[in-house]
Amino acid sequence: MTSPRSGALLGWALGDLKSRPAEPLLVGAALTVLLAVAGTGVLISERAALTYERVLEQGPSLVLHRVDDAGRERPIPADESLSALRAVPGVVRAEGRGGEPSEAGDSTIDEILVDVFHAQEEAAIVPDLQLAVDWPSRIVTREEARTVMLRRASNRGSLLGIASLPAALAIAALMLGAGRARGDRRREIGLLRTLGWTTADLARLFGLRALVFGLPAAALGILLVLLLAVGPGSAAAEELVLGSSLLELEQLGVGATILAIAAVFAIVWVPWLAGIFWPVLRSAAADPRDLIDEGSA
Amino acid sequence: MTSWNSIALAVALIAFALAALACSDKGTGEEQQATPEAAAKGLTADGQMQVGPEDRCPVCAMKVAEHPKFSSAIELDDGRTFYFCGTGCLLRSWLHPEVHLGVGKSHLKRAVTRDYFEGAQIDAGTAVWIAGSDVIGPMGPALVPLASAEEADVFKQRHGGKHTFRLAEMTDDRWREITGKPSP
Repeated sequence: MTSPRSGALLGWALGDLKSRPAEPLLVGAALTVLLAVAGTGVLISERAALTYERVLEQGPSLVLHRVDDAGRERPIPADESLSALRAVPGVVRAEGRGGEPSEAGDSTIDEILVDVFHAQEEAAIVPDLQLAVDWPSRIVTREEARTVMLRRASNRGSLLGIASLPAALAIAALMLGAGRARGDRRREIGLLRTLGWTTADLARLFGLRALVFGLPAAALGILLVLLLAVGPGSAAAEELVLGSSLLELEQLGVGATILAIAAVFAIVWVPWLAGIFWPVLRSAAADPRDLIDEGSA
Repeated sequence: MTSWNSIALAVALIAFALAALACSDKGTGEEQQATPEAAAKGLTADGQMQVGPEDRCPVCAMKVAEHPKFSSAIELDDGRTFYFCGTGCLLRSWLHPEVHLGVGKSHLKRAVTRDYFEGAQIDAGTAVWIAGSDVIGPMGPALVPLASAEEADVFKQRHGGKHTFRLAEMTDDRWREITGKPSP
């Protein structure tokens, strides 16, 4: 038997899907939702990470607060503290922020921003800064601030992930429901193989069937990702993923956006395509009569 | 027939001579070091570096502008300046300029580096150098220049440091002792 032409296979696939539209619609919707949710989460997390990085680059190397025994922040005597800190080797800049000015020369500040020349000095200089001032202090380095910011974002992301588990289960149930026709599929594979169809022919038919609804689903999913993660809907999605934030998130470059979407696309599509082609490949070694019998059982 | 033999012998002799000449040229080429391209802009009158975006380290070929915090320079007596990505490359060239810069030691005029703490550009000859600390530079464990002995003490308290030296004390033996590797 000669192999069926792709045009004929496509017609067959379309006719097959038209006769049973519920299954492709459900699976297509599930694929769209999975791609949209995962892609939006990934892109917003990437934008947040980039934003944090930029903010920290522009910020000071260390921020120093005066604290009392209970850990509460206290006003810092400005002049003497700044003089003491500027005398520490490695301090390139020490500036006060906040607080209350005073003409009597005893003005206070809320915090001190310290810059060092080498990033490797940020942690190393901390003990000397603590020794330079005669009050208990809490010092946060740029690296610590970065860790805290990323942890906050990732905690929020994890909570969202846990919250979205029921939704993921619902989608899985939909896909499993759509797969109830598995017996029919096996019988169909058995029949086609008795007619002389090769594994490659079957793979082409099943692949075309998948692409007929999978491609529109992917296009819709990517469109939703762009709308939710970088387009007009991004404010609401940012609120959902990151919580309330005063920062305006940086936009990723075109290349980074494409790469992130491609990664999510692959994560969603590879298992799904494996599910499409696996029965065909598994049936390659099976006796067609067994497939028909099993499918009819 | 004799004439043919003579011609063949002459051709063989010429071929041998040419081959010997080629080998001789090749040998000379291996011994000579190509002179690297000097920086577009040299040091200012007060010894400040003017690193351009295209200036490359003559030792490792990295772009110096991408490693500004450890950048260093050597100025030659003819006015040419070479910028280095890190202090290790500077010291290698200072030790063996004939290898890395294509000139003899007598042509070295001055070397400039950055004080580790402040980033200020200082004379590498007056700096106090520390090796064997936990600080990492562009090419691995850093050779750290500091503006004064007091700063060097503070640095060693924060980062450790097995060796303290001055540029004038640097020799092949000292280099080997400090880095554990032969020079250059």
